Amino acid sequence: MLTLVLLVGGFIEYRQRGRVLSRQSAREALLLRQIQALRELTQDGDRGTLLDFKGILIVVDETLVQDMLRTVSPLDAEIGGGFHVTVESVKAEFKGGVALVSMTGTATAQGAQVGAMVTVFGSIDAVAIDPASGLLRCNLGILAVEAENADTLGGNDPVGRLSEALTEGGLAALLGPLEIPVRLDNALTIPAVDSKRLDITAETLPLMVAARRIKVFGGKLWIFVDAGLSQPPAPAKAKDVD
Amino acid sequence: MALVAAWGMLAGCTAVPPAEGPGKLAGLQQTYDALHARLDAAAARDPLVTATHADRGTIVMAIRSSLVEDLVGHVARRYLDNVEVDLGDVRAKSSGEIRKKTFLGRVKVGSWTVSVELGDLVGHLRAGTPKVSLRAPNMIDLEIPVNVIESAGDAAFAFTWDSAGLANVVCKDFELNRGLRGQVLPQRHVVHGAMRLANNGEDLTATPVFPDRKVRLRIDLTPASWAIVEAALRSQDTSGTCGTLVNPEEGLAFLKTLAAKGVTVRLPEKIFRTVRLPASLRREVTVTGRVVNLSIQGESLRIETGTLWSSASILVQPISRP
Repeated sequence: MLTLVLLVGGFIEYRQRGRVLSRQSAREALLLRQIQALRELTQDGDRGTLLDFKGILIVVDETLVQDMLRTVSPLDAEIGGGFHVTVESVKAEFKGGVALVSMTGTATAQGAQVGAMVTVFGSIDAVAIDPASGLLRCNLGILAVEAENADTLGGNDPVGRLSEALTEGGLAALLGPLEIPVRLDNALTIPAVDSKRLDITAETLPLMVAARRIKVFGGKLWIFVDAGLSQPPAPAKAKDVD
Repeated sequence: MALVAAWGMLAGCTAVPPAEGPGKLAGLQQTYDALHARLDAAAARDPLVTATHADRGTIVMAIRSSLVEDLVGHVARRYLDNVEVDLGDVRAKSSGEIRKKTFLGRVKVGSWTVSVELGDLVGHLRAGTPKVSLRAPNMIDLEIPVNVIESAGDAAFAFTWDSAGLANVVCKDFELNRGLRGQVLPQRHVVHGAMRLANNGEDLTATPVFPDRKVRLRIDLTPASWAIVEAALRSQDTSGTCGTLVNPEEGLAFLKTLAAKGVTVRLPEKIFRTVRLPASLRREVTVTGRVVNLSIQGESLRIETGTLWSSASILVQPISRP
């Protein structure tokens, strides 16, 4: 009897400890990432090159990303690895060098009735310009996954397997593309003129635009975009009359 | 012993990573806090960060003045580069009277009219590199050098003489019509204007403001054509037509003065076209495969710290669910 009590007691402690450890692990992962990013940012700050953009700087407030994600919530997807994830709430927090997107919901193993409460910590790691639409697209990565009652997901290392599934396409299945409503054109168009005395065809000046890097601080995502005329036109060979 | 073994088994199957001690986390937190405080201080010193935080929009766009100047400079140059101005409808006309001293005093002996139609004459414009400078709060000043390329085309010359009074009795009226070759002389002008920047929420636009669009084109006849005009005037230099009253030399000089004045061409307003800068906001995005509609309100636009700043507030519209 005593053995049984001790076993049950030990199991409960293990479960509680496991939850705490998992949470601490996510927190540690986040802190480590933030410290790494903050070291770079403070170096830039010391050099006075915090915002050393050359062409265009796009600054996105965390509330916009959060509002966009909340609008489409709840999110629901088969994320691979035999897991199904439903995200009930989303929080975006852009500070300390990391554009953190926390998604809280439930993960269930295939065929299971009961799932585990999970929080997926993702971060916007890069922003690219979609070549077709010119819109800014965020690339999200997995920072950490935290689970309560992880044993309901079955098997060994369920959180590890869940993280793996999310990393290997699961997050993309869950979130899909996350667009920022900023369009950067790779050309500047001057409209045509067709009048009695003037006949000018429309002209397009090709531009080079490329999202170079991002920085995160102060509740904002700072997107550095290099931009310029891709082929500066040769000077006109006009006859100088003066 | 059995209990220890059982606990050991459970601990071995843990699905979570090994624990980091609370001390380690506290240490990391301390490092984070210190770095964050350092970053906050650096950000507070940075004029660009300060300028961004001054905007209340959810999206702020900053474009370096050098990029704006480069883009607008090329656009402005395009306005007037390789442009052909059709002078076919341009007519130069002048008239006057000739009076002579007589015993009755100065009396009018006749009136003359001269007109030149430029026919298929075309003005070819080539623009040089504009001088571009940003002016707060939202203007871009432009000075566009424009070269007018020498060109030639057909022109029609008409000269009429209408005798008056006593002269009418002895002099015949006459009219000269000649086909000539006109030419636009090579010349250089500077067109002054500006572009007004605006933020309509979605787009940043640059609208040309060129109140003075007049260009005086210096034109002339070819030497051969002047010879034709001179010969025409001299052909009337007879007592019967009273061409002597007109005086071919004076008439020729007068016509050359007229040509030297040139013709004023007013460039149409529509030559200067509004352009959209290449960074804009969109009212629709795809999030998790679903289309999300946004309402956008332009908040600000200003030139500050060598940068064009604009911002907009964006409200996410709720998705209608089935």
